[in-house]
Amino acid sequence: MIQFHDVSKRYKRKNILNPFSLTVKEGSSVGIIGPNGAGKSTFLKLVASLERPSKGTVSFSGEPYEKAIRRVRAEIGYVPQEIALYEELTVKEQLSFWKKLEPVGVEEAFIDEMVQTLRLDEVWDQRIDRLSGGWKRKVNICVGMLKNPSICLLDEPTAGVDLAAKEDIIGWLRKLHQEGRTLLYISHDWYELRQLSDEYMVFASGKPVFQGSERRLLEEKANLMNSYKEDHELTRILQYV
Amino acid sequence: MLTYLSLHLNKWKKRPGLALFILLFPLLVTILSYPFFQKAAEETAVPVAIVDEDESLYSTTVLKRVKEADRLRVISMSSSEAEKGVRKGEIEAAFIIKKGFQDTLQNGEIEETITWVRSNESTLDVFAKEAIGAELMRISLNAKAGNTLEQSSSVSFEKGFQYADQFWEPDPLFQMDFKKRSSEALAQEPYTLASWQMVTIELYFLYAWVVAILFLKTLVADQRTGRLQRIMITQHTTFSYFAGHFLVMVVMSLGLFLPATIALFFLSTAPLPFIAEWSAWAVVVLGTTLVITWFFFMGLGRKRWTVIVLIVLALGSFTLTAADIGLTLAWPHSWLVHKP
Repeated sequence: MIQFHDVSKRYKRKNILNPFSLTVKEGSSVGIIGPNGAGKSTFLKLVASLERPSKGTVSFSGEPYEKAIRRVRAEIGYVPQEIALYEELTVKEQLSFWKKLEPVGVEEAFIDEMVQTLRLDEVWDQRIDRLSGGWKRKVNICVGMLKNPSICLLDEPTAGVDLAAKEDIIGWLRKLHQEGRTLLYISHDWYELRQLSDEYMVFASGKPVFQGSERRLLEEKANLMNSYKEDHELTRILQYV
Repeated sequence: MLTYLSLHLNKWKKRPGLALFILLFPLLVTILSYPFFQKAAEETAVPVAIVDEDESLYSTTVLKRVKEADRLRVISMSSSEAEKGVRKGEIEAAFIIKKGFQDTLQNGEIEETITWVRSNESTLDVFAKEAIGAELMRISLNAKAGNTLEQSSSVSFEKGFQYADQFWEPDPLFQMDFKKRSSEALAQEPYTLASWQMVTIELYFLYAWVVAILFLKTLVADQRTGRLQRIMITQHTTFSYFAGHFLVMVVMSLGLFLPATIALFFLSTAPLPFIAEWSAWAVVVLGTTLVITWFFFMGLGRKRWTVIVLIVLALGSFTLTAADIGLTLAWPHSWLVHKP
């Protein structure tokens, strides 16, 4: 369980996240939506321990992140929005390199299964810089999940990916969730969100303004649209709910 | 930490042409510019003129053999040119082989066969005088032997001359224990770097330093593309990442600098202890420079502009040291030059 208590984040004298408190339950699959610049990626980085809150506390199973940092990082798999890979290496070399960095080793069976499911063996010996965007996304996800994490954080994992590749990725993530892992992912794609989420988190004006099931989101939709009617991007997103 | 070394080796393997060029560039420069180095070394030999007025077999033999002498640069010219050259100080001295040189020697005489023209500034021409004197003695003694045998037996002058000449090869049978002024003898003296060698080493140092600075761009890119964040989560800490990259930078930089510098020393026939001493000093200076560069880069937040600032600093260090204009001890290049 990850808890945020009165957390805010400022960067270069600008409020990126306004004070908020929330809890992410273990084993939940949370789809994070919201307009650009609403603080979704910063929130995910706070969960990943890549950013520190300016105020407030983030805790993992009741223990503050500062004290549990190694345990948190051992449990978390993070897939950034950027293709955070070494472009010159082949898929095989890429996975081999990141596996070597894992301090406690990896489960080869889990990796083999992930490679098979995402069909990475088709491009096994190809350099990353010669792959299409879809393949790069798949490798990006695979590297982020190498340690078989219990908490999977994904920042727009399927952005710019073709439908077939998207199906592969969604299928794999759904399987991870079904096996009991916690999923937090940012997406703008409702098809994907409906396939994966059992809970939604809506970000607006630098904080989460809604957290709950799809049914509750439908109920609150009108209120949210009314409260944030100035935010045209959010209104447009909520129209699709 | 070695994982990062193997990562970069793997990356360089993908662009073998570029990687090899970067690695071998200073070595190639050393080898390609070797003829220039040789010419420069030749120009440090004592320049003397020989004027051959006799143009006989004996005079050309003397000329040919003296030209082979170490540390002498023998130039053939006319009598008037030679005297002018000595006056202007362009040549150390001139030796004029007078007409009738061969006839005089064949008569077993050596007096007044060669005129030695020198000025008050001439100092090193004694080496040439010694070399010419030795050749004169050799021909004269051979001629004396030829004459004696021809008069006392049926052996011809030529046969007697050749017979006597064999006692001069490979070294004269009897000789004074002169210390020969050769490259071997010079090696015994303390070896010092010529200014062109010093500038070349400074350039290699600059090259290795700049390549190391450019390597730091990898760290900027890792941060920008999110790879560093991924490493932070994967390894729980960034210590290994930074230590590994520092190691790669040092290994790469030394790998560029040391072979080229050692090759230069070898081509310049520097003695081994000198090479070892200089290499150790260069490693210390380059290592210190890289540590400072690293902390400067880290302290300024690993930004792209930091790389530019560091390159400007490196170029400034080289320029200010080479130009020798004040504040010299503030620059890594001058630490290199001022070896204790």
